Parts: sequence; C-alpha cells; structure tokens
Amino acid sequence: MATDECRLRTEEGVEALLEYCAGRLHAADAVVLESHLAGCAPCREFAAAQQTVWQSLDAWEPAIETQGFQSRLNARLAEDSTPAWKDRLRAWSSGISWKPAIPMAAAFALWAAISAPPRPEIPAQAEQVRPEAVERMLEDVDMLDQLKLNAQ
Amino acid sequence: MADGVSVQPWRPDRVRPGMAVAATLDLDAALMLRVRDGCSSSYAALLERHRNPVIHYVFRMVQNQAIAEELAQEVFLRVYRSRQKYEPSAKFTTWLFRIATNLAFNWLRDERSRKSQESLNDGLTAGATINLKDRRPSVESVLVHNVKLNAVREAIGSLPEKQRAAVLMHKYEEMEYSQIAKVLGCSDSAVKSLIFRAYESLREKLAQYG
Ligand SMILES: [Zn+2]
Repeated sequence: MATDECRLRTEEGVEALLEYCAGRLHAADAVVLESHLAGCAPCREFAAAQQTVWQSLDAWEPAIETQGFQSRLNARLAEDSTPAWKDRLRAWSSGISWKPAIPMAAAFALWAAISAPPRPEIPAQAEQVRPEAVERMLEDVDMLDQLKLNAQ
Repeated sequence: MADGVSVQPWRPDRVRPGMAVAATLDLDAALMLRVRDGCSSSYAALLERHRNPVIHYVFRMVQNQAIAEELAQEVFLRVYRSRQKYEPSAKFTTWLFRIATNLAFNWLRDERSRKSQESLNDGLTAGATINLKDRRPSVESVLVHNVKLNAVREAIGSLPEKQRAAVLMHKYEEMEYSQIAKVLGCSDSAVKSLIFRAYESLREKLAQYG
C-alpha cells in the first residue's frame, strides 16, 4: 500500500520508529505509526527490540559521587587565576589567525613573564608561564569558531 | 560590565537570522556572557546545571569513574579559560559537549595505544570486554540486575567511539540529530547513520534482555 509503506524501508521511517520507542514522537504521528505497527510484523519486531534497548539503557544510571567535584575544581581554578598580561595576550591574539601565531604568543608570554614587574596581589605560582594552557584555550576557542561557521 | 547580554558582539554576516534571538533566550549563553564579564556566581550556576550531565556522559564514554571526573574537571576548566573569547553564536551545550567529546576521544585513543603497547610488552591479549569487567566491583556480578547492566556497559563499550558518543547524546542528553552533528562536526545524515548503526548493534547485543 503506497500510503502505508513499511517504515523499515525508508530512513524517515526508521527515524520515526526510533523516536516512537524513545517516547519522543508527536502524539499524532504516534497514532499513525501505531496503526501501521498493528499490521506489520517486521516493524513490530523492530520496535520491540528497540524498546528492549531503550529500557536496558534506562537501567544504566551511573552512581557517581560528585560532592567533592566543586571543591577540587575550585582549587584548580585558583591555581589557574589569570594574570593581566594573559588577558592582554588573549585580546591581542583575537584579531589574528592564531595557528601560525602560537610560537610568537609563546615567545611573547615568555618575554612578558621575564620582563613584567612582580605583582604582589597574585600568587607566585600563577605567574608561571603555561604555554600549553594558552594553546589549549585557543583550541577550545577555535572549536567555538568552527561551530559558528557551521551555523551559517 | 554588569549586563553581559546587552553587549554581545554579534557578527550578522556569520549568523543566521533568528539565531541571535535563540541565543539571547538561551540561559546558558546569558550565564556564560556574565562569566566572561567576571561573574563567578554565573560560573557556579553553569556548573550546577551541567556538572552531572557532563560527568555522566564522559563516564559512559570512558567507563572509568576517576578518569570521568578528571576529564569533566578539564571540561569546566577549559570553559573557564575560554570565557574571554566566548560569543553566544553557538548553543552553549553544543560547545560544552564538543569539548567533553574531544577529551573523551583523546583519552580513549591514548588508552588504546597504551593497552596495545602493554599487550605487546606482556604478550597478553586482554580485550575490551575483559577490561570493562575488571573495573566492576565483584559483588555486582552475582546480581541479575547487574548482569543486565554489565551487558549494557559492554554493548556501549564495544561501539565505535563516534557511534558511542552519538547514541549517548541521543539517549541520555535527548539531543536532536542536528545538535549531535554539530558536536561531532559531521553532517546530519552522517549522524543518522551513526545512530542507526549503533542501535542496530545494541538491538543485537541486548535482545536477550527483553
Ligand atoms: Zn512496517
């Protein structure tokens, strides 16, 4: 029947069956699909197996202790406090293609760390040059840029 | 600046009409803009909203609690470190899960290479299934419920990494295919294919638990 083709034959049909088993299909679409299921054994089999998968996955709720997470993260953030020269480096690097600039940024960071006067309000450990942290931050920002381009 | 939402530097040439409105309404984006402007309580709010989903997602990816926590900490550290450059032109959770996914992929890749080096050195051929079982507390194996859980973990753990990430985001984060595609950096149709194949494997492996 052209109006009630087996859902397993099309990508949209399989997608609808998956969403139905996830309980995420709109009510009206679910009613139509259920009437198809009533007359189609392969789709019923598919749906039954998928519902088994869904219920099995539901049973997997990780019991993870997250109470100390915040305090451990706070400690790492405190270590990571940003000296003003790093902010200036970030502002400077924002206007250029950063990939070829990493060696220059590292050199600038090194120069800044050596030549900057001591800043008594910042713990000594935060003044350490951490080029890998700067590079990782730039990678994460690059991911944001990629997402922006994809959204065009 | 007190109100970060009003000063967002939009780039109309790179953003679809409507996205600006959607992003302005996105609470996470608004919080992140405040973090950018130095508001630590907004960072705490973001952490509160997303900590458990990120930890659980990474745990289900790597199936190791200590590693999951370490990687989740790294995710939130990276968000904080990137705050100065944040612009709300992509959904915050897409960016968040993209960072989490990349960290999980990197860890799994390093782990695979470490394991293969170990097995070369030791002459052992321990497979992923055995490794996953080894991490389980032994008491669980005697309970019927946990036999099923073990099967679920093994079935998920045996999926190729991209399929695993896609199915975890679809199932537990209830993400649309289009958002999963953005997280994984592939097309919507590629994500559909990943998810269809992942569920097909899971149906085969978990059929007996119906
Ligand atoms: Zn059918």
